[in-house]
Amino acid sequence: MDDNYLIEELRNGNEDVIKYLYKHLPMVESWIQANNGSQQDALDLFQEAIIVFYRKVRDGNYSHDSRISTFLMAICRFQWYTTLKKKAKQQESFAQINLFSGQDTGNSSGEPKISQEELSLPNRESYLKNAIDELGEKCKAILEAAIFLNLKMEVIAQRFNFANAQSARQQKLQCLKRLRNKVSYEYVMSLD
Amino acid sequence: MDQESIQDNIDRYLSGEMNLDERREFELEVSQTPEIQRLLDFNRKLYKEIEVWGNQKLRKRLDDYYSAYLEESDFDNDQVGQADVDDPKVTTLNKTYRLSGPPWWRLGIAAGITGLLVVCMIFFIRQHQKVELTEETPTETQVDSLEEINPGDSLDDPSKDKQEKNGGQPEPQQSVPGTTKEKMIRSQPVYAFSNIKRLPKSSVRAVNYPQQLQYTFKNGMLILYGDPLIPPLRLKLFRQKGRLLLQFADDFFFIDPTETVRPLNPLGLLSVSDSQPLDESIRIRLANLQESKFTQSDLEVWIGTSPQQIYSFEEKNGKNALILGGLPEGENPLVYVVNGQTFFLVLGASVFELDNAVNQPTILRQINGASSANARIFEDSKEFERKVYKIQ
Repeated sequence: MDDNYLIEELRNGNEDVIKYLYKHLPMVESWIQANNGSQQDALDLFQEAIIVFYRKVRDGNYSHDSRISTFLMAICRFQWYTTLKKKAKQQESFAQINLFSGQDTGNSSGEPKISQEELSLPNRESYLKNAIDELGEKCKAILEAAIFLNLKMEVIAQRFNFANAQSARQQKLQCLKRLRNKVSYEYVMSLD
Repeated sequence: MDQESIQDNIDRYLSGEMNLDERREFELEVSQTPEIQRLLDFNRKLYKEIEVWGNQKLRKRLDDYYSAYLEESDFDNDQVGQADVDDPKVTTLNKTYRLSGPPWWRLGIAAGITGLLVVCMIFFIRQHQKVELTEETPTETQVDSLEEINPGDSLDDPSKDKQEKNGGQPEPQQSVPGTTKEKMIRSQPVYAFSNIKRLPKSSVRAVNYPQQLQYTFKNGMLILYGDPLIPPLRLKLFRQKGRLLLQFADDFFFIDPTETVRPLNPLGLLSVSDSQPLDESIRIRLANLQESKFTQSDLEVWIGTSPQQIYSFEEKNGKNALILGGLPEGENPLVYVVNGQTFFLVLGASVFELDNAVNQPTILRQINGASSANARIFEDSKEFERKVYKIQ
């Protein structure tokens, strides 16, 4: 599949073409394996690189100067070097690092003490994620298409059978209103 | 400015749809109106969170795309050996392959295989045309009414159906026998239902997919409920001070022996380094959606008799109802409504996808795991073994 065609399809919301990007995975795998990484490391890095690529295409910031394969490989190389540097630093101070980063249990011989309350405390992620999950399927799909995928209102109107871009925008604003009504302003603003 | 215009401006500002002048004007207004500033900050946080949520969903979908890629690669290898989609030489099933190596003998083999396939297809069609034409005449006549489906009706036209799913791209014909059969089905009369009876409510189930992950862990077998499509490679097991930890994507979960189904609560950010393989493996089973949590759906389902396996969504007692016909005796049909919008019929090991836009008797379309991820969520559970790694 031609690079330009794939990018055009992604811009039009045909995400399915992402699977064709995986033909570049073996190239990344061999490079990562030759640089002390595993196949799983390669897959994880490659998925991250796809996300970076997809976001760039989505935001209209992808430059056509290089081939997609070159772009993905460059991201993976950069990420892997960063990971290796981090690993080296971690090993230096490994004795001090507890499994739970940023949390010293002071209980190196026993099991980590985590109460059920601690596990179920609402955090930023679960609080807002639950609020989004409680929206109707259609609202979730519209917000995902409009905000995360940054699709044009015309495309959204077509995809969700709205009369025109203006009614698609109205729906998006309605869905956002529903979301705002589900959460507490004070709590959201207190989050990082 | 009224509330609606404020929200509209905030949205256009955050979505980057304003031009430079509009942006300046809006920023000036924000700086002078604390209430708009407050709303803008609030919305910014929500947009950011939708990005995070969308990213998590995308990661999940990437796993599916990877699985689709692996499946297609397996298929490619079975078909033509070394495959690459970069440089088309042979086209089949909407994909292109490059045959690497010296082109003359590879192309020779490809041409030979193609020739052989064509000969087999012609032979197959000739053999089957007679049989299928005799099947065209229905043998049962005791039904209430007969209805001839218009061959041009898109609801019954599988090729059109596929075209829509492909975003308007015409689906290449996969094989001549399949096409012949589809034509035969279209030209057959589709029967109406008779003697309809209500399917018990307990057989009509509403499920969400994916669900929050849950587990049981007994007799060395870890069963995960909630998402049967998790790629096994994304699951890792660790022992930390004797306790078992499961990693899935970026999340970690403690797994304690339990016979009851417990939710998997993510432990937050963990850093795992220096893992050593242990001489221990654990069997994992990904339970299919039929084993997961469900509620009763309020969709009414009626079952009637019919010489063919057909379905239709029709209005009954003022409500939209599903009517099924011609199902085999003795099978306990189960209807699943997934996420309130996608409908499936499960008959033993067979899965059928039901299109709720169908409002006249239409032949049931069976799907399977090889062609549809939707079918895989209902089919047999996947079982595999994962090695356990020791961590500090």
